[in-house]
Amino acid sequence: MFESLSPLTIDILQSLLYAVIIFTALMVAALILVYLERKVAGHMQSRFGPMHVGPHGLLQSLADAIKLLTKQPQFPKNADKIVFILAPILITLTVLLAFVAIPFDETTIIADLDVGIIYILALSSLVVVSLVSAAYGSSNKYSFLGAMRSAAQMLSYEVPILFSIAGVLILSESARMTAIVEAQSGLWFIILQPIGFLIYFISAVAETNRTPFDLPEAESELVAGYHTEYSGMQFALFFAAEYANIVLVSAIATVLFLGGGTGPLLPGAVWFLIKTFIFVLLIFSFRWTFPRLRIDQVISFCWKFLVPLALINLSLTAIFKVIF
Amino acid sequence: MKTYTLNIGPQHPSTHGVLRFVAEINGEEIQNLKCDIGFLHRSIEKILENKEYYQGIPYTDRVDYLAPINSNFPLVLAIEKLANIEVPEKAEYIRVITSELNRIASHLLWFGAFNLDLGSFTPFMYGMREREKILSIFEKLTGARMLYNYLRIGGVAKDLYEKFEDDVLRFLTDLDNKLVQYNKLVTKNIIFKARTQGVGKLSKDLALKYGVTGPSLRASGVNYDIRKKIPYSIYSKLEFDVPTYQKGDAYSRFRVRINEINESMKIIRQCLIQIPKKGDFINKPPVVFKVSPGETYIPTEAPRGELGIYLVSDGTEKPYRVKIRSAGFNTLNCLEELAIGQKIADLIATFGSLDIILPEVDR
Amino acid sequence: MNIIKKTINGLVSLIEGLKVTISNGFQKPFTLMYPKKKEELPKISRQCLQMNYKEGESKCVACKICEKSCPQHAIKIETEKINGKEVLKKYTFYPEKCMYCGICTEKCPFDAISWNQNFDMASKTKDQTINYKRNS
Repeated sequence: MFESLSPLTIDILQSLLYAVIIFTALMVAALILVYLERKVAGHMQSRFGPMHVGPHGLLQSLADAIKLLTKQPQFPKNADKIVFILAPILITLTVLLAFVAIPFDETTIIADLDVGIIYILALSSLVVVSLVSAAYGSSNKYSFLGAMRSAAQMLSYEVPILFSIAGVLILSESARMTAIVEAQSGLWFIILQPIGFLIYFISAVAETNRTPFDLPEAESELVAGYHTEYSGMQFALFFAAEYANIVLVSAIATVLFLGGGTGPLLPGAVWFLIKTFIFVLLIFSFRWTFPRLRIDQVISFCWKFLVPLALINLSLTAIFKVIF
Repeated sequence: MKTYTLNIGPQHPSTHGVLRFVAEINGEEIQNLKCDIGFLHRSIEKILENKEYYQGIPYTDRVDYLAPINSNFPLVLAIEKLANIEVPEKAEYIRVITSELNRIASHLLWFGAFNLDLGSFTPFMYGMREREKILSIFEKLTGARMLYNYLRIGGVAKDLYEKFEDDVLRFLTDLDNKLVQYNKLVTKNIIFKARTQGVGKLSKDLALKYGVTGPSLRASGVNYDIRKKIPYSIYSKLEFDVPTYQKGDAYSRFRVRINEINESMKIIRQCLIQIPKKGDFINKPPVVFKVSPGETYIPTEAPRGELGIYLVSDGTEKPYRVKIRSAGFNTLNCLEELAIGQKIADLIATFGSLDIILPEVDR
Repeated sequence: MNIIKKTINGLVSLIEGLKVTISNGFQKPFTLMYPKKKEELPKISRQCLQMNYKEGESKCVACKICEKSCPQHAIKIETEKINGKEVLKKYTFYPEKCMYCGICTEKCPFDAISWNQNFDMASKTKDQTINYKRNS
């Protein structure tokens, strides 16, 4: 049946299938991760997490999703309707598009671009645009202030990420994701680049607005955050996009530093999942252990400490590459 | 320059109580701050004028409900002084043991609430978990978990139950191990230090000018503890240190209170050794109880500062006037001067470290 | 050199903090799964006032000491004259006015009132609440 169709339609059908697979996989993953975070937080605090809805609380996320679906969407009075509605769609779209270029195995990848890692970085910078447009569309003085702070934080932390990834690119001599995985078949990059890994991890936590860098989010104690005026399914989209962002950042860390998708006994995809899972759990436990930083401490930490350290790391890597 | 007015409303995400700040902010810095109190006024002092002496003790429980025995203490001491009633020795020891246990409970709750203000949730749960063990001990001893109504004129209400000493010693050894963990989790944490060092500096002159007492004063360099300078009950027989730090910022106040928990544990251990095994727990006054006319002021050391009661009696069974001097009222006044030039996040940290609770301020 | 020392100390302090919380995550939780598991309260816990009976009759003699000593006026006693003596007709306790201080049970010389541990007084229908009031 498929032989009579032209190659163009086969291409379109294939991409449509991939889009549906990624979308459902990420939404299901976001639901599971929300439940997992509440359980992990509960046990760290000497209590159980959700236990009543379903056996051991397994259906809790489903109940929350159904509740959010049935809420009435509210529009503020002076809001710009088009921008207001587009903002959550934009943020979900950018995070989902980045998953196209991540290798789950040594060869399994949807689009093996030549500029793989640079494409992912460009998409993660687009998240800032959707944030500012969400605040602009809300027409609320305080949520705009909060969004400005969040935008400043996310933009400043792009620079150390760039420099730490540049260190990895020097060692692997190619920006293609499968080539980076291949270059780690001898030794994982985390051993060759420990400082680079630390810089990348700290900047990644700041990119996703998690504690200890979550002042824009928790400012809702005094001043509103950027997603206050949203309710119902739009709020659920913001939430799911945040958890998908966490998975994306952990997946990149696995591929770049831990040789993602390779391992002795089990198939490659299982090893990829295990390694990503370790990073996700680490990011969760940061939130429940540390207090949060003030906004001027966040920005001065980035520019006065991380960027010089990243430059030193880059120059040392370049020197060693020339010598050996 | 243009400023905007921000109303930090009567509801807070932490357990300080209902208090309203009206702040004028320029960008991120505060130019002017006004406090608005009175949301929790229950007219306790007026109520006490219409009740007999033994009926007024449950009302002083509610002045500072996180450390009720420390709030009962000055009223009972004032009545005993005016009526010339002697308290048996075992009752004095029981009063001091329960008083110090309450001090530990209050400091544990403050430890949790302060961290909740700064953004980490786990120390709050840990503080509540330890406090739960103290409340279980008190439930077996007095019958209630929070508002005990335990002190009476002439002694205490009930004797110690059989396994009291084992329970308390088991709790103290457990708390020793947990305090080591909390030091690793909070006190040495670099993010916590960056949020609290150099924040909310209370100089010695400012503290003395406004009448600040308690751990906030001791963190600014003044070595003043009422249990040492004007000893009441049996505190003159016990050995303990008074921790003092010089810098006066939020970090010093934190360390003073953690050290005070250690000192309270020392006091409880000494009392459990020195307490007489057999003795009366109350010296009951006559049923128709009249107090000779006069006036007196008794200061005591509550966990938050100096809590004193000024009692005026005119010879009948009801007091003529009871005035409560609470520590939070004076400390709240110095916040208006401290807050100028700080950022909003620093204001929350300073307010949390001063350990002010509103039922004490409003009464 | 100072900066390197400070950085390493800072990093070590963060890792120590993580160790504390993660090791706590593997221990048994401290909370109870209420209402499936309930803890027994000690016998002197003050949750609700009750009247004591002896051989079918209440021990109360209507001396009104508890009514006079209650600071919140939460007890009301009505008496009637039978055979020349004052006998108890109706004893009302208002749980919403009471402040659970325990002075009334201490002052009663006949051990007629005491505290029971029944704190779960919420109910779904109106009849149950009115019934409870009549029995106390």
